[in-house]
This record gives sequence, structure tokens and C-alpha cells, in this order.
Amino acid sequence: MRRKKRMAGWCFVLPGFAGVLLFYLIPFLDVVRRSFYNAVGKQFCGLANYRTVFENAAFRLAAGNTAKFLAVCLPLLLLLSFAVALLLQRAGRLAPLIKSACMVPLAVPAASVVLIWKLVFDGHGLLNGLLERVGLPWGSDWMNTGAAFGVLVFSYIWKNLGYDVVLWLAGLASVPETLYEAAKMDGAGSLARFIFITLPYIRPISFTIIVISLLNSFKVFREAWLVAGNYPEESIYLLQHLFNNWFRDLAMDKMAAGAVMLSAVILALVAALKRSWDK
Amino acid sequence: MRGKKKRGIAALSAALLPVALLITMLPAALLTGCGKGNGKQDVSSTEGGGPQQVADAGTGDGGGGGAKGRYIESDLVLPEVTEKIYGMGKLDDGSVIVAASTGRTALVFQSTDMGETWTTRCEVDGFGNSWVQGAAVAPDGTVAVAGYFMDIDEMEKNMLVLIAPDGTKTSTPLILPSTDSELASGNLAEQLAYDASGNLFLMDLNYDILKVDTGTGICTKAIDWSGSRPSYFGIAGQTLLLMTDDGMPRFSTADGSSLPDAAALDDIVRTDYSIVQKASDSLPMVVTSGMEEGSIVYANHNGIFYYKEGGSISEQLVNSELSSLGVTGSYYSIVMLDEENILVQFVNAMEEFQICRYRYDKDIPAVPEKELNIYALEESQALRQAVSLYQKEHQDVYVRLTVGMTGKDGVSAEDAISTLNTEILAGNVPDVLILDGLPVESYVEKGILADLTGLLDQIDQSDGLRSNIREAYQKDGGCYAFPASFFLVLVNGPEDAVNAAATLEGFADYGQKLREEKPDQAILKENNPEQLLWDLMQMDSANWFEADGALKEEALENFLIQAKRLYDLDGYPDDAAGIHQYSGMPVGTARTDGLLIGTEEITYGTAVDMIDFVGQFATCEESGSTCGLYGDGSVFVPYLMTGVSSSTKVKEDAEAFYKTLFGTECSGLDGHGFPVNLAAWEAMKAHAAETYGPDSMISIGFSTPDGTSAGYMMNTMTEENIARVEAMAEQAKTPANTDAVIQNLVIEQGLRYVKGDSSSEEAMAALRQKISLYLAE
Repeated sequence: MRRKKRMAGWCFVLPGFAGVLLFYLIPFLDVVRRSFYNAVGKQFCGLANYRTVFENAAFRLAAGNTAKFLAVCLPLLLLLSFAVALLLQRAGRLAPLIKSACMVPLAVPAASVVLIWKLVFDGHGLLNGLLERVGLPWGSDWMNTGAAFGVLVFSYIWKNLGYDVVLWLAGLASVPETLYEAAKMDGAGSLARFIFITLPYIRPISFTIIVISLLNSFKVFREAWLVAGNYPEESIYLLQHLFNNWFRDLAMDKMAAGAVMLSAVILALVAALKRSWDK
Repeated sequence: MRGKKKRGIAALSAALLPVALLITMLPAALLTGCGKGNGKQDVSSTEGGGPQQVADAGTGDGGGGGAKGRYIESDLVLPEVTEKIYGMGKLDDGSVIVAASTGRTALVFQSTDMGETWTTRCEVDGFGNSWVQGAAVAPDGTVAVAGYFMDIDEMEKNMLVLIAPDGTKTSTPLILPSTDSELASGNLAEQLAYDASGNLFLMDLNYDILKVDTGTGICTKAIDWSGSRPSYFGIAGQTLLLMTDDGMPRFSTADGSSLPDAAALDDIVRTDYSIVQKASDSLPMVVTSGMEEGSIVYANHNGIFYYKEGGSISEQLVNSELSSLGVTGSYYSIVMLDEENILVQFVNAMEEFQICRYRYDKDIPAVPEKELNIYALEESQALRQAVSLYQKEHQDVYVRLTVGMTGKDGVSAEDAISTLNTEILAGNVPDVLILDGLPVESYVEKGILADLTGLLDQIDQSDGLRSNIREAYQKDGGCYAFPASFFLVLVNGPEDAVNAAATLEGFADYGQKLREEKPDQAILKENNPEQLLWDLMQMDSANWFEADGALKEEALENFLIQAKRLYDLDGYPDDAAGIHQYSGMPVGTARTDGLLIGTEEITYGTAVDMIDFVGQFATCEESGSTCGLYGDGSVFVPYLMTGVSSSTKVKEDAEAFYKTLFGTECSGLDGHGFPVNLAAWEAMKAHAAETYGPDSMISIGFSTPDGTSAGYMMNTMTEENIARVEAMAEQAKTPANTDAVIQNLVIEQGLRYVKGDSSSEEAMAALRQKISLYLAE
């Protein structure tokens, strides 16, 4: 009987798994294989590609920028979205409206976002116009200065805040109201209720939200590429720029080694997170 | 109840398992069909195949597969050298008539053996100093030519000249309706065509189709049409077709009545806008009647097609990729002699009139068994010409030319390179790669390209190769990419200017000196900022990198500063005229018109062929200016950089194509760059001496800003001047930097700087950072 039940389970899982296998796992195995071969995949070269990538200044810069971006964006997004979700929980009748408003950036196509960026942050753009009006120093072409990193962070937060808020709200909704009421009757204050009821209850969903936000952070490349091309200001030169350019130069060897290392880092991050969550 | 539930789960499992397996396996099964095919099926599926298919046309049964039979192209040679072919027609007795001109004389040739041999039927004088607007051949052999014939009537701009079958010439002024056109010349006849009954029709400047009374010259409206404006028309038997961007309405030539719409014909113009864009006296598509009642045969840049009345599709008889038909897309006439022979008159890549015969050969495969894949990022007439020549000489090879950026689908260079790289990684490396705009260095490093040394040695031994260019491409004892031709970088102006242009700084200094002396005069040729940067980059970019590939920052900074100084001399706006490559034909940017009419002091840029030098030398003579090479004269711009795949399975065919591309029949033609092949160089010199030598009567004219006209005689290719060009070519040793990434970065930052949107420090800092990143990758 158990076997038959298990069979039914497999039947549901198999189609999705086949897709993952065909379109992700098998190609990734080929990428791993290619990382040990030369560019056109004919000659085995051991770890030489990994060495080349480690020594590559562009890779080091891109990896550093990507790590910096994640380190700044992820905590910021998680905290901000959680705070907004908590506020929304108490917003009453306005909550659905604010929730919808938070989701609007997700519906804006990347090309339109880029157009807005250009209008706002260009040397002759709206931001400089505003600064000039209020008598502040202006004239920078923001996307060609160190400020480009700030613009990228802002864009990521703006775009993903609503999505994370909705996820947090779903988590918060799963906390039984009766627990709060019981704690209230026992004399627990707001802070105590938050620390001892809310946080433990949303712990499982917070893991999912962190992983989703981490993966979404890699999508910011679209905007960065559309607004500044293959060679943007140094601070927003990300790993995806590098991979894109390596593909143009047919550097499959470096690309494969870089992709394997990136995957390993993400996998390690997620595993470490999972482990700490499971404790 | 519980037992029922268990049985339900078991039944659900049993039912779901096959569905799940099907869904699981389906993507795999589909993916096996996603691989790139050998392409032959694609071609054969559109290939009509021949007479059998002609009979079946309209049924949609294209044939193909492993079938035999294909139309083979061959050139027809007329008995005398002609300057222009007016038209071609089939007579009632099945023979074919060609009306041509040698300049002063019109000649009518006749062939009774499908164009194998020709006899001259008559010669008629009076065609000197003429401007022919249209010509047509009637079924009885009468040739009608409309235009302006100064030798016949100096005053009449709309003369109809009829050459009867016996050679008798009659001329009648055409009486056309008045026109709304603002042209001072009034109404004009634009295009002529006969129907099967011998009625003559023309289109005038009102875009009306008029029937001509050949006796009186009176033209009356033949059809009533109020729809989209037609670009041109065609006649097939008794059916008149209007080419509009909305469709192809049909009319009876007998009474002008409208005929039922044919969706298959409408689709031709609706799906391909280029077929309704008539830009010269040639046509984008020509039509004639087929062998069956009501059928239509037409030729355009896609090939030759057959449409059977009532059919839902047109059948392809000749694929343009297997013929010369697709090279220029400029046609004059088509004749279907019988089911196995079709003649088409068109303009070839050398801008010459040509008649080709397409003869059905039932014994050869419908699609050539061998395939040669050629890839180019951008369109090139020279390349198309080479493909056409090669295809004609190698009927057993199907040449598949892929152009990455056709300009029709919004594909960027980056998209095209990504697609190409995906193909390369999948093992589908094109056999021959035209490397202009592609990451050549990467391809060489990755071992994609074969060493061309042996092949170049063969060409060197047979024709000779320009050694100074060859040496520039020797790398690690081999040569992996080599240009078929090159451009020279010129400066033309006062002698001091040419001397000062030894460096970019000297050039800018001289320009500034002139600006002070002549505050109200434009100094440089009219240029938008992007074109200015582009031209200056060709001149200076060879200096930007060390031999080991390191960036020479001070050289790049100097380039930006001098570019800004030169831009500031005149400060032309963004929308000022620039020179762009036209339809795959490189255009020399060192224009001299302004020097001649005194609207500028110095011109600079590239010269891509001898015609450019004709203009340069004429300017020198007329305006007293000097023409010289920029810098120390060693810089050249490579064109049609070509490589052969190291993994090609058709090495011999690829090398044979390489030889065709570099050969005398293709290399060295006007607009194809200066050839590296010395035999082609000699042929180019001989052609220049003959066409643009001291005896040449060809002139060129243009309007000046104040409305007057100016021009010069194109007769400057004296022995002395040809020797000057030769000496310049011998100096060329250093290729300009053609790395597309560097070029784009410099243009991007350079534009911001010269237009004042950033300082030199900012521009240089950005460039330094971006180029360093690129080099570090």
C-alpha cells in the first residue's frame, strides 16, 4: 500500500523533476565537465581554468562587487520589507491598497525602469535639475560615478520590496491570533509578544524569503546592463557582466569555471543558512 | 469504504504513471528534434524543382527531398559590348529580342536558340545624349524607348522612339496628362511595358497607368485605381499588376477592368516591403506570363517564382541563394521561353547590366549535396558577388551565406555574436568566417581559425599578394585572418594641412590656425560628431596599444583632446550629414565636394576605391589642394577580414571560395576596397585607366548650397596619378584598430567629451577603467 502511495507521489513529481533534470542539472553537469577542458572543449586542462579565473582581475572585481551588493541589499531588503509588513498588519482598511501599491514595481518592465533611470540619473536628468533648483552641487552623470552602486541598490529594493512584503505578510498571517490574546492576558507587552511569538513562528518562512531574495538579487543585472552596457561604472560591474563578455569572447573555459565556483558559493550559503535554521 | 479509497489510489497511480512518463519523455523527444538540421531540407522545401512542379504550381506541392532537377544559371553573352540593356522580350515565334545601347547607337539583337547565339537585327542612331526613362519589347519585336533624346529633339523631354522589327525608327512626343508634381520638367513617363496584344502602357509621375497610342503619342488612363499608391507595375500576358504596399491588385489590359484579388500575390508585397521600394530606373521585381493561361512568373531578390491562377501559394523555381539574383535586387525584365528556360535581365554586383539564363537540368540534385557555410556579421556586396561567382562555378555546392545583422530585424551586433558563438559551441562553426566586427583575437586564441599560410602562398604564387599587408597579419609564424581588401586614410586640403596631418595634434593645430585666419569659413567637411570620431579613429587608433596589447593611455588621451579641438572648429550638430555604408557597400568618407565649391578647407577620411581617388585628384586640379595620406602613410583599414574554420569538413571548398573572394573577378571592383591580390590590383588599375583616364567623358555634378551647380570631369586617372595610388598602397603597413569593443567604448565616451557633457579627465578616467576591464577579462 505504502509502495503504491509512493508511486503516486513519484507520478506527480516526475514531470517537474524531468524539466529540472533536462534544463538545469544535465546542462550544469556539462558546465562542470567543461570547466576542466579548454575553451572549445577538446583538451583536458585540470584545474588550470580555475587558476586562471582566480587570477583574473576582472573576475575578482566582479565577484567583490557582487558580494558587496548582496551584503548591502539582502539585509536592507529583508529588514525594510519586514518592517513594512508589520506596519501593514496594523494598517486596517488601507492595507490592501498599500499592498497593491508595493507590488506595482514588479509589474514595470525592465526596459521602462531603465528609461526612468536614464531620465532621472543622467547628467542632464531630473535629479540634477532638482539639485540645481535647491542650490545643491549638481552636474554628475550619476551612472558614471560611484553613485551608480547606490542607484543599483535603490533599484533592487524598490523592485523587490513589495514581493517580500507579501511573503512576510503570509508568514505573519500564519501566527495564530489566540496565542497573542493568551500572551496579552498573561501580561506580555508588544515587544515580548513580537520576540517570543512572532519571531519563532515566522522563522521557517524567513528562510524561504532569504533564499528567494538572494536569487532575485542576481536579476538586477538586467537593469544594470540595459542602462550602462557591457562595461558599466566599476562599482556596478557584476559577475553577470563578466559572464556575458566572456561568452562574446567565447571564453567557455573561464565561464564554466566561474559558474561552478559561483554555484558552489551559493550552494554553500544556502546550506549554511539551512543548517543554522535547523539548529 | 476504505477498500474503495485504496482501489481509487491504485487506479489513479496506474492512470497517472503513463501520463507522467509521457510528460517526462516528451521534452526529451522534442529536444531531439530541436537540433540544427543540415539545412538541405529547408531549401528543398522551398525549391520548386522544375517543369513538373511548374505544372503543379498552386497546389503547394513543392517537391524536393532527394529529388533531382534544378534550374542552373548561366550568363548570356551579347555579340557586342553594350553600355546599357534597355529591355528584353519574347516574340510570337519563340525567339528572344534584346534592345541595348552602345551610347550613340541602339542595337537590337535576336536569338532563336535560347540565347546561345545572337544576331544583330538592326542598329539605330540617335541615342547619344539621351536619358532613357523606360523601354519595352512588343511581341512582334517592336522596341519602344521613352525618354529625352537630344540628338532627336533637343526640346522634347517625353519622346517615344519606336524601333520597328525592320529597324525603322519613328519618334513621337508623348502627350501626358498634367501632373501635380512640383518638378519644373512637368509630367514624365517612368516605366514602359507591353501586353500580349502589343498594347503599350506606361506609368507617369502621377502614378497613373496610361495606355499609349503609339501613332499619336496620346496617353489615356488605362485603369481606374484609387487605392494605395503604386510604386511600379508589371504586365504578364493580358494582366496588369500594380505593386502597392497594400497588395498587388490586378487588371485586365484589354478593358482595364479589375480582376479578382490573389492572396498569394498580395502576400509578396505585404510581407517584404523591399519589393515595393523602387529606388532607380530598375525594378525590385519583374513579371511575365508563364506557359499556362493566366499563370505568372516573377523574379525578385528571393529568386524566381511561378504563380498559377487560383493558386494559394507561389512556387519557387530558382532560389536566389543558388544564383546571382539576390545580389543587388535590381531587375529590368524577365522572359519565360519555355518550361525549361527562363531569362532574367538585372544589374549585377559590379553595377553592370547582365542577362542570365536559368535552364532546367533534370539530372542534377534538386539541392546541391555539399554545403559551404559562410558567416558575416554585416551585409557586403563584395561578399555577395563572391558567393554568386563561386556558386556559378560550383553547382555541386550549396553556399549558405548567413548575415548576422541584416538590418531588418533589429538584431544588434552583440545579439548576432551571441548567436554565432552558441552555434560555434554547438560544433556548427561556419566554414568561412568574415571576421569584420567579430572578436578575431578570441577566435584565433581558441583555435577556431585555421592557419591560412598555405592558402595565401598559393594565391601569392598564382596572382601575387601585397606583401606589406600580409606582413601585418603574420602572428606566431602563422596567419589566421587576412583581409581581402583595405581602405586608405586620406587628408585633402592645402599642402600645409596635409603636411601638418603627420600627427593628429599637428592636424588640429593647423585647423585652429585656419579658424583664426578665416573666422567665418567652415574648416572641416560637414560631419556629425559620431562620424568625426569614427574617421579620426581610423586615422589614429593604430597608435593606441603597445605591441604586447597594453593600452597607451597618453595616446588615447591625446586622441580625445585633438578630436575635441577638431570638433570645436566647426561644431556640427548631431544631425549633420555623416557617411554611412550603403547596402553593404563601403563608402569613402573623404568627400571632396565641399573643397570644390569652397564650403570647407580640409577633408579627411577613407578612400575605398579608385573612384574615390578620381574625385580626390579632380579636386586637387580644380581647387589647387593636395591629396595625401594621413600620418606617416602606414595606416590602412582592413576590409573583408576572412578566416577559414579549423574544423571545416569541406576544406577544399572553403579554400576555393577564399580564392574566389580574393580573386580578380571579385576583388578590386568599385566599392570593394583596394585588393590585396596583385593581379586584381593590376586589373583595377587597367579598369581605372580605361574608364577614368584622360579620354573619359564621364562627369559628375552636384548642387551647391546657393543653388548653383558644380562638378568635375572624371578623367584624372592618368599614369602618374595611378602610380601615386600605387605608392600609397605600398606604404600601408599598420592596420587601424578594428576591435569593436574598443571602438564602441571610445565613441561612447568620446561623444560625451566632444559635446561637452564630460571633461577630458572624466572621459579618460571612464575609458581607462572600461578598457582596463575589457583587457583584464
